Amino acid sequence: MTILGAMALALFLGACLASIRGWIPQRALTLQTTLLLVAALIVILRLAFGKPPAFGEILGGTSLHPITATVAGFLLAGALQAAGGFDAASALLRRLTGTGLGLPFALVVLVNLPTIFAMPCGRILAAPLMPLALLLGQEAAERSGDRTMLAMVVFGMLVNAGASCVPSALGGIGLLGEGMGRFPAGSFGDPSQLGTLVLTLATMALIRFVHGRDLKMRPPATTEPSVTVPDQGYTALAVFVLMLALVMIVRPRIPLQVILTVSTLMIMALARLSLANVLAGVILHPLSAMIAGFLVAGALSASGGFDALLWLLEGLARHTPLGFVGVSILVVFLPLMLAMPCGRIMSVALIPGVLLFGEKVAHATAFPLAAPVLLVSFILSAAGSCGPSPLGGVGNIGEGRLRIPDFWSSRPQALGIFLGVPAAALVIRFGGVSGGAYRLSTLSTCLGFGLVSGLGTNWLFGYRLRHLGGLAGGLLVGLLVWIL
Amino acid sequence: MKRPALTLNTTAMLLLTIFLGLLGGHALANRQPWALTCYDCKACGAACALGIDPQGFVAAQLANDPDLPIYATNIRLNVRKALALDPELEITRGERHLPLRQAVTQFGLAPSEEVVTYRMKARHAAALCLECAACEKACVLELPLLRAIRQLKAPQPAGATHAK
Repeated sequence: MTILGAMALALFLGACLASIRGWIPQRALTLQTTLLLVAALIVILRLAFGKPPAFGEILGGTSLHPITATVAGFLLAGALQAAGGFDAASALLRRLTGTGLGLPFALVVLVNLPTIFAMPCGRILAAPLMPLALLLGQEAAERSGDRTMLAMVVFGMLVNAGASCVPSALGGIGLLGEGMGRFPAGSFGDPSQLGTLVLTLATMALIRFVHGRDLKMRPPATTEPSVTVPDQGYTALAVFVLMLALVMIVRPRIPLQVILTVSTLMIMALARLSLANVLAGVILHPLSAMIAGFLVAGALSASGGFDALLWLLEGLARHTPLGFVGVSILVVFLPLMLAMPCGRIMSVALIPGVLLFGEKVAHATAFPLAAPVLLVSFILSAAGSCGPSPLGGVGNIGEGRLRIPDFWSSRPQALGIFLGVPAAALVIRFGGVSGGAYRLSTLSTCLGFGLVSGLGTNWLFGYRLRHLGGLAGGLLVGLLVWIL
Repeated sequence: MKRPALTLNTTAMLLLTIFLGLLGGHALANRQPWALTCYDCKACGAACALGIDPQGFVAAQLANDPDLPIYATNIRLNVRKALALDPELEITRGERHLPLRQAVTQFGLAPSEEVVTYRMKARHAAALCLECAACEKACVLELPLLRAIRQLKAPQPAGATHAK
């Protein structure tokens, strides 16, 4: 560990903390600018210590795949949105509430839909699903006479959306971890999706029984108008689902970005969309956050910041009562304590350090899966943290729509993530790390988690525990998690 | 947002865009545009008998820096040859990774003694690569990694920052 490394690490963590606490106001310096300045300061520090600036290492540390996959994913999402694909998904769900399966079926599928159709950024699905969440939430609230149920549906869906960027095959954060840790491609998908089912349920339960009691809200007075779905909306949705299935099942040896672009072009041709329609789907925030994260990560790596982090964590583990397990828990939930508006910032910047510490934990505890367990948990915690982030997190969307005080949802979301992340760790602990999809043992795990989600939804929304809708919806969610 | 802050933040976003553009520019300038498609999944690394991380060669092309330090964790060299290659290359000694020059001073290593490498410059790792193509076979996209390796291996013209 060098003094330069320690200073670089302190600069990075200090800047994150200052942004979170509002000491660096966002209206003056956005997080991306702050990170860029941190990278520049680290380079200046290197020069002050008589070392070359290491621009090559900073550039070379950038992983282009998640960036280009995210751009391609956004373009596809833009095409789907413009073609009415998301409206078609909402309409299909709405239609299902009229069947014998009823509201619980629609609720359990709706709140978990973001993680099923995992997009590279949860915000892509959060916005189009919001009208349906408000509609179904109000229906549940009127039926039970408990208005907190509206908040349960809205924030259940939002926390799920926040964490859904981990398993996305379209450039999700999980891909970063798999690549950096040399784990099989797709191996973090199922564990993170199953952990997300649990954290969604936990968030809804916390709102129902703990945080919702003193909730004062002024939801929109009228129900959202029903959206007319254009015919091509269903076709676009079918193209999207087929493309996801192709990627997951066939795993063709061509870049994912090419498949995404071809799918986008197909939807554009089908729905006669213009380039402007598609470009409207691109959200720059996560992209710029990711690039800024890579820059800082490169600067930290070149300056020994990760060695300093490792030294600090190992020292805490060896010389305090926390031990390796206690420090692992601290590492996993560090992103939740420094909740960023995009989980990629913490993930990109700290995954190398987490991986190194994971290896130390594996060595100290003689548990070979310690590194992937730690990494999946850390990434899910980081991704989910964009829900409760006070810096423009996904949760703010719901607070605005329900007209409730800013950051009210941060606490239940953060605690929900706290309870859900260990589930992902347990899936790796008992299922191992495997990129080979469609194993029967994985199917039973997915169906089991889906069933628990369905049972929990029945219970939380005041239905009989064995209501067919919740059970069928939960099993369908489990099956879709396994397939997609 | 006030005007100075707006200018600063906009400049930062433009710099981030330029940073991204640089990577593409380098890939084209080095005539290895396929490097942009690399997943960075490190599947190639597991296949290398010498413990080289072939993705490092791709990163060297994107960064236009043949001196980029990359992992090469299983190359055995005697101290004399290693010193001639690069005294700053990192070696593994017990549980520690340290620069060769420091190891020689600290442990009094003899010139004939064998050391195991840990990290070295991309062009040096390319020079030691066996070109067995195991990395290409392991690549999920079957990328032509040997092209990048051979380019880095080629002697550089005087004044050039990168082998052509």
